[in-house]
This record gives sequence, structure tokens and C-alpha cells, in this order.
Amino acid sequence: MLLRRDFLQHAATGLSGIALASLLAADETRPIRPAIDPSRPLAPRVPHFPPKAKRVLVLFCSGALSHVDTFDYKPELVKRHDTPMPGATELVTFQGEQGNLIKPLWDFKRRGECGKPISDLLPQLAELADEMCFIHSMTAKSNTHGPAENQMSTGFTLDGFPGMGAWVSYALGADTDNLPAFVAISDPRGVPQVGPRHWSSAFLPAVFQGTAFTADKPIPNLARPGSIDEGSDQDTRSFLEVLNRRHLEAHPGDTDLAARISSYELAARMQLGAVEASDLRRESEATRKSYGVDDPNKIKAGFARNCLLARRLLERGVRFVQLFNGAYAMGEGVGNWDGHKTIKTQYDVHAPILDRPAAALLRDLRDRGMLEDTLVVFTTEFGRMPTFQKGASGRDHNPKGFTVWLAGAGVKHGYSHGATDEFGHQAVEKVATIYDLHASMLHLLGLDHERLSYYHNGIERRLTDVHGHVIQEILS
Amino acid sequence: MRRALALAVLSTLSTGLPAQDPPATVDFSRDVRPIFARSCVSCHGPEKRKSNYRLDLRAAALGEGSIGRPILAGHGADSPLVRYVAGSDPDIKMPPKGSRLSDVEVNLLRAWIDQGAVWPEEDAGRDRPAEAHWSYRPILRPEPPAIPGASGAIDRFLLAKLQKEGLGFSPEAGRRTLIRRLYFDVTGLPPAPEDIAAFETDPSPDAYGHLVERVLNCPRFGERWARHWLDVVRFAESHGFEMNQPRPNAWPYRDYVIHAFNEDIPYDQFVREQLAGDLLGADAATGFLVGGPMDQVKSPDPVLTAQQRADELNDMVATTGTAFLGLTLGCARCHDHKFDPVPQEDYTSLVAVFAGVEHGERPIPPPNAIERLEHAAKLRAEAMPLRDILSGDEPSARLGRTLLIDASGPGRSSYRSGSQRGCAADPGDERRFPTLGRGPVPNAVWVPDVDGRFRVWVSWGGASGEAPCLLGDQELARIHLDSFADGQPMSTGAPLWSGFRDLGVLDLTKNSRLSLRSGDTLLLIEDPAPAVPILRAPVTRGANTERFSPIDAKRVRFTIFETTQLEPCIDELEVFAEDLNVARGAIARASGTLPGFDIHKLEHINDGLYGNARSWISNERGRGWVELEFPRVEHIDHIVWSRDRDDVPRYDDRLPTKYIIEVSLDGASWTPIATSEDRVPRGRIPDGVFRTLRPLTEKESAGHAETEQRLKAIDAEVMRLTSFPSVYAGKFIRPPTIRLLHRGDVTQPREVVGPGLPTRIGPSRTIARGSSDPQRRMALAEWIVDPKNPLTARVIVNRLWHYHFGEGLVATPSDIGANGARPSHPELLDWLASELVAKNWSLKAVHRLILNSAAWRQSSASRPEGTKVDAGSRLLWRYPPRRLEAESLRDAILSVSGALDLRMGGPGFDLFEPNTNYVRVYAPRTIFGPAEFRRMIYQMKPRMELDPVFGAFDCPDGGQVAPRRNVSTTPLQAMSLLNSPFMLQQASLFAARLERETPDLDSQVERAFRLAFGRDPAAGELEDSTALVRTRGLPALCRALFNANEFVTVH
Repeated sequence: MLLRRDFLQHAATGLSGIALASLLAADETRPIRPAIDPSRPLAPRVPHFPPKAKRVLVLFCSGALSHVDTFDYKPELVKRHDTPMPGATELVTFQGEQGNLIKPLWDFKRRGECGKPISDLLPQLAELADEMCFIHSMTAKSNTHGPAENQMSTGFTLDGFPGMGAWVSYALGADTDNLPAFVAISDPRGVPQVGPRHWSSAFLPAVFQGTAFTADKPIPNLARPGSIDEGSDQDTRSFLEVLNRRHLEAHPGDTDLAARISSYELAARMQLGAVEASDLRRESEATRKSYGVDDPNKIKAGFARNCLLARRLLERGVRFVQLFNGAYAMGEGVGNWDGHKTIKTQYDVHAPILDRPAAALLRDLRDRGMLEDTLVVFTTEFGRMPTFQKGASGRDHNPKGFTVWLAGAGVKHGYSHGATDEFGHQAVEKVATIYDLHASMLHLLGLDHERLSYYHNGIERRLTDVHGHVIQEILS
Repeated sequence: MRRALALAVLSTLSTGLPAQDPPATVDFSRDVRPIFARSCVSCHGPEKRKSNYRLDLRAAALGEGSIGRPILAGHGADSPLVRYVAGSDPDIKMPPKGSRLSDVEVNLLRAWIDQGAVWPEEDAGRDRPAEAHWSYRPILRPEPPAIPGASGAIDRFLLAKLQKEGLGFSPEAGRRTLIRRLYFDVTGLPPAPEDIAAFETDPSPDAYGHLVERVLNCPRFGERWARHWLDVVRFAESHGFEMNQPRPNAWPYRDYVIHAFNEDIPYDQFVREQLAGDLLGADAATGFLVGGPMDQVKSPDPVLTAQQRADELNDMVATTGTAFLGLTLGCARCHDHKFDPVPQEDYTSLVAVFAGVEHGERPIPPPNAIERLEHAAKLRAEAMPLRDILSGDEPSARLGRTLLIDASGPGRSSYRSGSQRGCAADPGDERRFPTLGRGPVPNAVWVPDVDGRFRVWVSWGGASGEAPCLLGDQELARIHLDSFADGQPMSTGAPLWSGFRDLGVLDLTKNSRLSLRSGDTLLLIEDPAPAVPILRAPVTRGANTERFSPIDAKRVRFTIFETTQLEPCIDELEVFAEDLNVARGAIARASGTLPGFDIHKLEHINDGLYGNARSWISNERGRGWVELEFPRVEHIDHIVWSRDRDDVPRYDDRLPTKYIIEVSLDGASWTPIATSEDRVPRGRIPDGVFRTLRPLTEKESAGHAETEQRLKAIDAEVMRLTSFPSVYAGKFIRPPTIRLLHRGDVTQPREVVGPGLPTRIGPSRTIARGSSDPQRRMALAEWIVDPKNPLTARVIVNRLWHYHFGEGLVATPSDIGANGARPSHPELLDWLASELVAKNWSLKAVHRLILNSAAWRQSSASRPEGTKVDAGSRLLWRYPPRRLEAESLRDAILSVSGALDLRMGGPGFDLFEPNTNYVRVYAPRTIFGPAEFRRMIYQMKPRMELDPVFGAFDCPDGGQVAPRRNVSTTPLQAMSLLNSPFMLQQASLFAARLERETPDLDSQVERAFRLAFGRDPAAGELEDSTALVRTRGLPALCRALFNANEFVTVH
């Protein structure tokens, strides 16, 4: 009670300098504010309850990867190949009218001990079926890349909401003091369709935004500029520190000033930490080879390096890594999974870039025991139609049913949850939403998605808006 | 039975987490009322009062219903209400239908009752709950408390509260600190060392007051405060979402806001202009309406299209609500607002207010539009004859007066019969008119009886020798009477007509009198007139063409003043836009129609069928009008009309001979495009002999190239004058019907909702049925700025306070509704709000009050007794120090380095590489030049793409509104300021400036400190600095100063 009285006194005076966290008993509904030390805003913080996962890797396939050609096997689609989809004569999807049902363009085979049918499009990933926990009944709110990518990464179709990595770093900080808490690694071909919205801090403090870099493009402005020699840099920083210390002495009690001094120290540590983490030469030849970092296909090699970088970052305590496969800069389906017109040709180019490096990453995490406390989420913004578009050899957008899979900490292995209809068009069984996915991810991190919130403009904002249920069936 | 509540206290100042409402104890408005509202009030509330019990009003809820007293304060577990909702009562379970309360909620209610069922007075509720919350109550004008030694109202309100805590203001800040604070706060730039010195030594007792006036009147003020407003209204210069293409013409809205603040446009007008500036001559202001994101990805999928439109309209409604009213209207999109009295119907009626607004650009008339259009009209008139000369087409109609005046006087003779040149029946050819003269008069005199400036041509015949042509007594020309007008000699004998000889441009009055021996017809064409006399053929029954410079028209009106005889008849009126007859399908109206004839009906006028049997006849003799209204504005260039297109001779009656044709865009103002004036009068020459005149000799036609050139120049100039710049300020359409969307779902439309205003907040006003789009928006604006609206003034004065002190009197500037923060000083807020209205909504008046207050002028130094009670300085026992925002930081760096370009207005500079990808790729520039050295408010600001250096400083992204900025401290900021190419360049420029301005090292260091920090270096600093410069150079010192805490902090 004493504590509460203190609290009320502070509240009554409307303190802005001291915000209050309430680590309340589990049956409360109020927000839980993370305890953030201003001079170490990225220091590790305790979750709401004991977590299964300590860190997250999201592998995001930009452009909408076809579920019916990869993970969601529909015998009826094969049987009814090249016939009209019942009830679809009036159906207008994103780019227009539908042609006939088209069977998967790659054959399905049973994989692993679980016997999960997966197509030949991604053969190496397929071999890891026993690690995967499929959600076949995923649904998105929008059939347009922009809003749908927004939703998958921020929970909202609109622009301007924090990415899930920002939410997680806000809640949990990082297990490292020389690397960012949240790293976004773009595809070698460029950024995904909504670019930095995936890793934006939006209305959360900027310290929680994702730091974007790749194996080939280091953190901007990280390194000492070439025009300044090391001695000069050192002297300048020392002079700056003296200047700042004097200023701090003249302004005792202003924590902002101390925090800013700390941020320069953290930046200096990051210079070393990020360089070390990004140095892939430290990996064994066997590891490098398994990812394919020297593959003659330059894009594939670039993506492989990104995969390896992701593992090294996770290993070093980065809380949340968002790894992208596919970029939009080259146009529809050219550098991503948006297979409207000639899906076979397009996917035959993209699949090898994704398959081996991603499979190597998942295997590597498993072999190093990291899957014990790392959650892997393989996702895309929505699925594709079981039909071809009228007059084309590709599939249109389909947010009504698609597949994501999870692996690692806290989820079942070799398990499939929910289902689409007989053709793979609409989720019909245990229908799941992106809110549910996010709620489950936060749950695995020990966070109650209803209590991880931030007041913005009249409302306690959450990653899950006012929706979402933890998908209990997928938890191990 | 209460569960243990654990609390942890932490500081979040530096991460800038806003003050959060107290969550630790059960708070009625936050925790309890929402449960009642959701689960109870539908039966126990204003509509139904089951068991004579209500849970929306305090008195009723804490009293008795028909089955006793459900809430027993202090005894949660024993209270019937808790038993009912927990399901532990054998007989009564509440709510009886729908989902039960969760354990959490039941426990909350029990805890709340245990704690005494505290139901604050301000939430006591009335029948109109809108009136209960503080911000929905009328703004009164509280009397400032009497405080000895304090004069200003602001200080008295603040001190009253401070003194309760045993505190007072800190002493006034030193002048150096004060001027630096004032400059950054008001202008966003540091003061120059000279400004600081002048202020420090200014002996005037009101030196500070003068300084305040100076900065408030400096144009930098508008630039600084416009940035704040642009945050509030989510302004950005790209569309957002995946394509995120730029909006190159969105910048005029930014310029408008800067201008509005600098000119201190009254805030009520500022609101009106942003909502309905198209009615107020402030077109760019409506950039507000469409400042938000717009998904450019279009699809044939109707659901997606509807969703995109619903999102756009929601953005307009929600932003209007948060920006002007501090009301989260957007929360009522899917259901009634959970906290504030905004039913979903009210939300929908506001959607209907904006339903006529679409994203896009519209041409906006500049301030000198009228002069420009008049000038263009003159040029057009000038161009027409030139064009006719070149084209050889039938001449365009010319506006202005044309007169053919026959000589008066006795003794008229006739021309020789025959068709040779000059004979009575000479049909003329391409270079000369047919004989228009009636025959010469020996002593010809003309009295035109007109006022104005005319070009005049004279003709003669049947005489020999020379004679003067006189205007009064003045000789205009000597005429060789035995020659034609072009100088060719006439054959002798019976008289021949000379043709027209130019007399030049004359200023004529009513009494002007011209004379010439043996003169004939005089031709006058009002100036600007062509250099050669151009006339058009007489009207015929068959077909008459009216050519004119292409013009936009929604309507065409043909008005007849005279006919050959009887009521006028027109069988077909065709209006062409690029050879398409747009009259077909137009709505026809007329002054009247001759009744009783099936063959003469109005609808025949544009039915595409010719002949007397498909014609319109007016119901008045000799006059009448007919009008065509097109479905849309058409760019028309000629008209063809006829009495009887079949050209049957007996239908020579009813032929209009005097008429005017006009066009209009709005049906109110009409522009003439053709009249009968410049046509040769009927009967003067035989039908069909008039030919298009090409009155150029071969010699003259050598000048064709020059004419062409001239015409081209005129056309370009006309184009420039008449094409107004397009601005991304919205396009306006006739508002479509709006339906309430069940659960906000576009696939579940329900009843139609007309435009309206919030029904449960503010003044009672309505929007008239059938209001047009701009009327709707104007009605909303008038409701917002109605002095009886309790929100508007409070919200804006709170924003000003927020930016002056770093924290508003209400900590949630765009939400002062029930879920927002409570005001720290409610009376002060209301006093300021009433003062704003009393000062005719002058924002500068409020700035002045705040800046001159002792509260704002006090020192920022921390004091232990202050931090003990109020660490966040919310009570203002000191001025709260702040870090510079991104824009001020960049501007300050440029200012100190000497690179800052203060050019105002116009399109912004781009910090990203050019790119034309379908999905715009934003690659940051790494090389910067003077173009990028303008103030950052002029950055062409893309949505969701932050500048790589300064974006790290909590710069809003334009995705959502940003009523307050976080102030976070991150390692990326440190890296950006230390290592980015921009910063290295600025450090070099700073160093170069120092070297340029002062000779020796010591003075360079001094100058550097004065520029960067506004002070001299201390002794130790001077030594350290010179040591650094000696070993590492001046740029190293400059790089360090830009990174210093002192540089980025305002004390």
C-alpha cells in the first residue's frame, strides 16, 4: 500500500519525468510498462511471464509466396485441374477475373518423419518439415501488397504503426550491449514493398526502430569516415567527452545529458560489435559452404550471407531479426514472389535463391541448439489463388487463406494447424488472423499481447489492435 | 480479498515515453466505466432503466434500484452487483445475455467497491454525458488567483499551484540563455553572436519585450511553427503505402501554413480555410484535407476500392477531429466511441461532410487571376485575325462593335451594273470584299454616333481628282478618288466602288463627323481591331458557323434580338469540341416555345435532326433565347446553327439576324463568344456571294512567317496566363450517398446517413439537407470555430503551451476527450482559451502572453526541492530543458556553419536520389550542395521515409498524426552526427567560416563557441580546444562542437 500511495502522489502532480510501471498480478488487464533505464534503453528487461523464446527470427517472403505451390497440398486441386473453380465465375480478385483451377506447378512429396506433403519448389526447406509448425488457415485483411505487408509486420494495414520488432525491443531490450536490439536485413535485390515500415518505430521512441543493414551494406555511418584518421577520431571523441562532462557538471540532475553521453559510448561499442558480427570470414568453410555464401549466383550468395549474418546476430544477443527475401524495386514478380503472369518462370528463378540459404540457416540454428530458445517465423503478406488469372499463367493475390510456418522455441514440430478449403482458396478450419499470429509470437516471448501497449493519440495502441488470440494448439 | 498489486517505478524521461495515466489503483474512468458502458448501460442506462437502476449516472448507480442497493461502498464481495456479475448469486446473473464479465473484470469491480466505489464528481454524468467530461463543458473565464508580486495571469495560476507544493519559480534565466531559448523556441534557429551581444548590453527596461516582438515578427517564426502544425496534420509529400510516389505539388499547403502563422491569420479563419478554403480564396489551404496517405494501387476488386475510399475518408474525419478538436473521431468508425460521446452515426455524418473530397490536384487561380484572364482575352482577340489570315478559314467571331455606315447626303448615284471589279454585283474574291457600297454621295458625311476607339475604313466612287478625308477639320488622308483603295486605277466611266481604305485607329465621340467628297460606306471596327477589315458572311437560313478561340463551357446560350420576321426559329444548334457535337445529350432550356406545334419543340434544338419540321420556335416575336447545358465542362471551339438546314427558300422568315452567343461554367456569369455584329448585314449583297476574305497581297503574304511567329508567341502567352498551377489540395465532386458501415466493414452498408455535425458535443447545429460539398465543409468549419464549441480554443492554446514548454497543460494534445490526460492547470487552460477568443483568435497574442510570462523566462537549472516534488517540471518550478528536434538541429548546424539558405517558399529540396520506379525507391543522397542547405521544413518530405541523419531524432514519418514527438536518445544518432557525410561537410564549412571571419586560432575558438553555444569558452575549454585544433585541425573542433550536449540542448 505504501508503494501505491507513492504512486498516487506522483500521479497527482502529473509527473512526466517519472512514468510508472505496474507489474501487476496476472489477472489484471492494464498495460504493463517496461522498466526502461534512460541511459541504457536497450538493456534487457524481464517479460510479463516466463518465456519460451528469447529471440525471434522472421523470414519474410515479400510479394506473396504461393501456398498452393509450396506447403498447402490440395489433392482436389490436382483432380480438378483446368476446370472452373465452383462459384468463382463472378469472383473479382486484385487484378480481375479468374481463369481455371490450376494444379500446383511443382510436384508434392511426403517429407520427414511427419510425412508432410511439400512441393519440389523448395526441396531443401522441405527436408526440414519435421521442424516446422504450419498454420494453413492464415488470413490477411488486405489483398494489396502495401497494406498487407504493413499488417504482417505492424498489425495495421495503414502506414505509421510500429513494427513488431520495435514492439519487442520496447518490451524486452536486447541481450547485448554492443549491437542493436532489432535488426532488419533486406534482400540483396533491395527493400521489400513497404520498405522501412516493416521496422519503423512509428510512435514508439526512435531508439526501438530496427537498424537496417545487410551482410554487404553495413550500418550507415557506423564506421569512422575514411577522411578522418584514427588518432584524430580518438582525440575528437575525447575532447567531446570532456566537453560533455563539464556541461553535465554545470547541469546536475539532468538525466538526458547523461543518457546522451551513454549513447556515444554505445555507438563506439557498436562500431566494434557490428563489425565483428558482420565478419563472415570467421565462419568455418563448411558453414560458409552450407549456406552458399560463395555461390556463383550473386543474388543467392548475397541472400546466403544475409542468412549467415542473421544467425550471428541472434547468437550475439540481438532480440529480433527480420530477414527479407524478395524486393520490389525491379517490378512485379521480377525480384519477388508476386507471380501474376508467368509464375512458373518467375518462381524457378526465385526459389533457389531462397531455398538453400534459408534451409542452411534453419539447420544451423537447430544444430547449434539455438532453436531451443529462438522462435523462427516464415511468412509472407498473403497467399495466391488456386486459379490462374484470366488470360495469364500466374496466380492473383489471395488474402483469404495462406500458409505461414513457425519453428523452434515453444512450438510443435512437424505439426499442421488449420486448413483451407478443398482448393486452397479460403481458410475454413481454425481460421487464424495475423493478430493471432502476433499474439502467439508475443506469448512465446513471455508477453501478454493485450498488456503490451503504448498510449498514442487517444488510445492504448497494441501490436494486435483490439484483436488476437494466442493459438494454443501450436504451442508445444 | 483484493489481489496484491505490485508496482515498479521507473524513469523514462530520456526515452521520451509520455506520462502515462496512473494504472496502479482502480480508477473509475479508466477501469470501471468502460465495463459498465460495454456490459451494463444498454439495459441500465438512459434508454432502458431496467429495475429502475442506471449505471451511467453516479447518483443513480450508488443509490437504490427496485431490488435494493447493488453497490455497497467498501464491501466489494458483499455488493449484489459483484455477486450478479460473478455469477455467484443463485437468482440473478448479469448481464443476462451476451458474454459474461471476465474474472479480471469482476475482480476490478470488486476492488473498486472495496476501495470505496470512488466515482469522481467530474464523471458523475448527466443525462447528456457529453456535458460531464471537463473538456465538453463550456469555457468559462476563471479569475486568476491573487498572488503577491505576480502580475500576469499565467504566472498567477501557475504560482498558486506551486505554492501549494511549497515551491515557486526559479530566478529569471540569464540573458544569454534567454535569447538562445527564445530564438530556438520561436524561430527554430540559434541567435547570431551579434544578436546575443546586443541583447546582453541593451539598457532598455523592456529589452526582452522588444526582443519577443522582433522574433514573433520574423519570417522564421512561421517556418518554425508551421513544422509543428504539419506534424499535427500528418502532412507529407508522397502518397504512402507501397508505391509511395511523390506529390510534387503538395508544397503550397506548407507555404500556406507558414504564411498563415507569419501573418497571424486568426485561428478561426485558419480552421475555415483548411476545411473550405476553396470558398474563401485560400485554395492551397485545403491541402489539409488530402494531406494524408492515399493508396495508389488500384484494382478491379470493388471491395478493395471501397476499402481504400473508406480509409481516405476516415483519414479526413479522424485528422479533423484530432487536429482541431482534440477528439478521436476515428474511434467511432466501427462502433460508438468507447469513451467519448460520438455515436457511429455522428462519425458517418462527418464522413458525408467529406464525401465530396477526393485526393488529387486541382488548378488554383493565383491572386491576379482576373487580370491574367483579361489580358489573355485581349491577346486572344489580337490573335484571331492573324489566325484567320493564316488559315483562310471563315473568320472567327469577333467581339466588340462593328459598324457599316452609309454616307448620308443627297444625290446618291449607283455603281455600274455588272460583276467586274467595283461594279454593283462584284462578288469579290479572296482578297477583296464584294461591293458593299450603296453608291457614292457627292458631299458624303458620316456621323457614327459612337464613343470609343475604332479602326476606320472609308470607301468612295464615281469621282476624280484628290480629296481630303476629314475628321472634323482634321485631314486623315488624301484620297485619290479615281483609284481603288489598293491604289489600282479605276477605269473611267460609270462609277465603281473603291473598296475599303484604312484610316487608322481613331478615338471617336458621339459627335465625331467624318467627311469625303463622293464618299460611300464607312466601316468601323472597335479596337483591338485587325489591320485588315475582316467581316463575316451574312446570316443565312441554311447554316451559320461561329468560330472562336477554344474555351471551357458548361453551358451555351443563344440569345436573339431580331429576326427577318415573326418569332425566331432554329432547327439545330450544334456545339463542337474538337469536331464532336457535344450539344447532343445536353439539357436544353429556352425563354419559351411557341405552343401547339409538334414540329416546333425545344427538344428539336439538339436532336441531331434538321429541317423546319424538327425545329424550335420562340414564343415571342423577334426575340427569345435557348440554352444548352452539357453533362460536363467542354472545351468548345465552334458552333453551327441554322433556321432550316435543308435551305428551303420559303423558310427565310424567322431567321435570327441579331444575336449573341455566350458560355458559362456556373450558370451565373456569362462570357460572350460571338455576336451578329461582325457579320455583313443581310440583303446588302446577294446570298452566297460572300467569300472568306484573305486580304493579303502576295507581297504582304511574305510576312506570313512573321505572323506565324507572332501567333505562336501569343498562344504561348495565353496558355501561360490561363493555365493555373495545380496544387495537391483535393478535387471536389458531387458527394455520393454515404451509408453507415456495420462494424466499419465496407461489405456491410446499412442506412443512408446525411451530412451532419456531432450531436452530443458542442453547439447544436445542423447541416441543411441537400447542401453541396463546399457548404458541408463550411458548415463543419463554422461549427468548429463557434465560440460555444468548448474544444477548439482549448486544443489550440494547449498546443502552443506544449511547444513552448515541452509538455502541454493537457499532456495528450490531440486527445482532450475522456481517455486523454487531465489538465494539470484546468483554470489556466480555460483562461488562455477565453483570452484567445477575446483577442480575435490571434495566436501571436497567446505566444506573446506565454513568452512574456515569468514562468517561461525562468532558469532551467535543476533544484533539489523541485525535483523532489515534481521531477518532470510539470508544475514549472523551472523551465524544462529540451533537446533540439530534428529540424532545428539540422537548421542550427547549417546556420552555425554559415551554409544556411533562408530562401522561403516554393517546392522543397529532395534528400533522396531521383527514381522513377513503379514502387518508388528512396535512396538517400550522400552528396549535398547549396540546394539542400535550406531550412528542413522545405525538405520535400516523403511519407514513411526518414532522412538517414536526422530521421533518427524522432522525426515523424507522416504515416499517422504526431501531436507530440518522442525525444529518444540512440546510438544511431551519435553515429549520424559523428560520421555522416553531411556532418563532415558541415564541420568543414564551419571551419572554413571561422578561418574566413577571424585571423588567429584563439579568436577562431572563441568565435566557434559563440556561434555554437552562444558563449565564450571557459579557460580550460580554450586550452583544450586550441590543443585539439593544433594537432587535428579546425574541422575536428567543429565536428566535436556539433556533437556536444550543449549544442543540442536548449536550457
